Amino acid sequence: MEIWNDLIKGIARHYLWLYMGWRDVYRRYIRSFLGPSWLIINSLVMVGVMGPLYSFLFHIPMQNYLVYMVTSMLSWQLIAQLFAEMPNIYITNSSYITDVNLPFSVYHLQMLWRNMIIYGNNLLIIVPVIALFGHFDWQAMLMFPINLALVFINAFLFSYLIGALGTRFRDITPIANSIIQIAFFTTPILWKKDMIGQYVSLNYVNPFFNMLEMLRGPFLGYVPDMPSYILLIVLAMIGYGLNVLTYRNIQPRVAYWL
Amino acid sequence: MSEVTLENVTIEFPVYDVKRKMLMTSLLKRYLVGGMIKKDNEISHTPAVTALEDISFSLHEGDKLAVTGHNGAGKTTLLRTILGSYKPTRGRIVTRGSIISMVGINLGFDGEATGYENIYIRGAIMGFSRKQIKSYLEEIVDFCELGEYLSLPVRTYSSGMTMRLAFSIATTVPADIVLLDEWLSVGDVDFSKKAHVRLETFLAKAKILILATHNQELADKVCNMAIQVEMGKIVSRS
Repeated sequence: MEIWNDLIKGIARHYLWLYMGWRDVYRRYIRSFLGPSWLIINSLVMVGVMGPLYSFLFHIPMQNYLVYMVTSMLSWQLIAQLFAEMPNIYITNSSYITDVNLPFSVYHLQMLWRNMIIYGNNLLIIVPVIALFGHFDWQAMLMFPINLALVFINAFLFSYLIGALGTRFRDITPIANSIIQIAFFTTPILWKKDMIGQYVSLNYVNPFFNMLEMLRGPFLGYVPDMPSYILLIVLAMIGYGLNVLTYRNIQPRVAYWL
Repeated sequence: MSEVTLENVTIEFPVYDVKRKMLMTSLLKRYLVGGMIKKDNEISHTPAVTALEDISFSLHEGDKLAVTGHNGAGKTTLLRTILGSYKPTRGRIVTRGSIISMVGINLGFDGEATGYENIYIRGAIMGFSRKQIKSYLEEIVDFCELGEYLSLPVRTYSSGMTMRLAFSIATTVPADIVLLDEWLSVGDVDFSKKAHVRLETFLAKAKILILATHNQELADKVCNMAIQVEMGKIVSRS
């Protein structure tokens, strides 16, 4: 219940985190020549180089593979970035925690919003690629806001848990980084989910896969499978449950662990 | 009605050394016991620094409390506890009214943003909407005397100028409860005098003031109550 209180207080301060999140992105690029366009160029170069290579390696027609890879990579970047920032969320905001005492949700929402902006910026690449190679499906597209919400609700809930854990145990950060690295190869990002044949259903055990499906499905013209939805809803429920159980004992201790 | 009441507040900081901060030791301690039990019992007791011990006092409207004591006595921790950053390990704390902490008044300043933008950033951190800040903008701009510089990025300011801006923002909007860690002194001789007057007027508007300081003279002048803390305990009251 405390997490709801915290969220409501954070929403009341929306002006703060909307502004700060925006500034975070802006500040990173403010004195560079191309500004935030670097975000897109980064991704474009990567896709431009890796797309042809992997379509050759996997013997998949280029136009087919390119749209798959673009959407997968951009979706993965969002998921990986969110996950990587979670263990450090309280540590990077430590002076705010001790000297200003903002509701914790402000830090989490600012982090989500900042990544949302970068993701939105990156989505601009997807538009021309889909127009050229993809096939557009209205029904799948209509699910996109719901899919996105599902990913962000999970991120919000686990940000509290992993954030507190990362503050108390400083080796959570390197652990999270190696999880991301391993997940990049074990999740069907560059390869396709049915390439592992009989083990295809094992993909659903991987939460990164389910989130990835939510984000890329709409742009590839399909609605993600039911198990992905169910498992992400279950994951959110677990995240919420853990927060309800531990909030009182863990979140107030964060300031002491900094 | 503003109020600050502390009842037997104790704050203990656990001290984790590098070893103990690691997840492995914590897991090992729990599951891989075996022959380690004896050693375990020794380390399972995380040492703690008692920053505040059994602090009780109650402040109401018009009370201006001076907290004196040496470095490390617990003054800043006490302010942060009242602010709500540290939830008491034991005891209870009740605060009513808006609280403003004058600690880190330039926290959040963005060197790449202009002076004007930073006024909005700081305002937002202190809890004001864009509209509210707009209504105070003129006063802040007038007081800090930075003129044209406000349209330039803050990174081009001298540190004195940055502090002038931070000070001007922090002392604009009155609050019920003000927490002040040492008297703020900013700027060159002329500005410093002006700032002194402004801080006094600002503090006069506060319903409750808590001032942590080493300076006994200042404490006597500004406050009408005093506590002295040593090693986290109140050793004298007046």
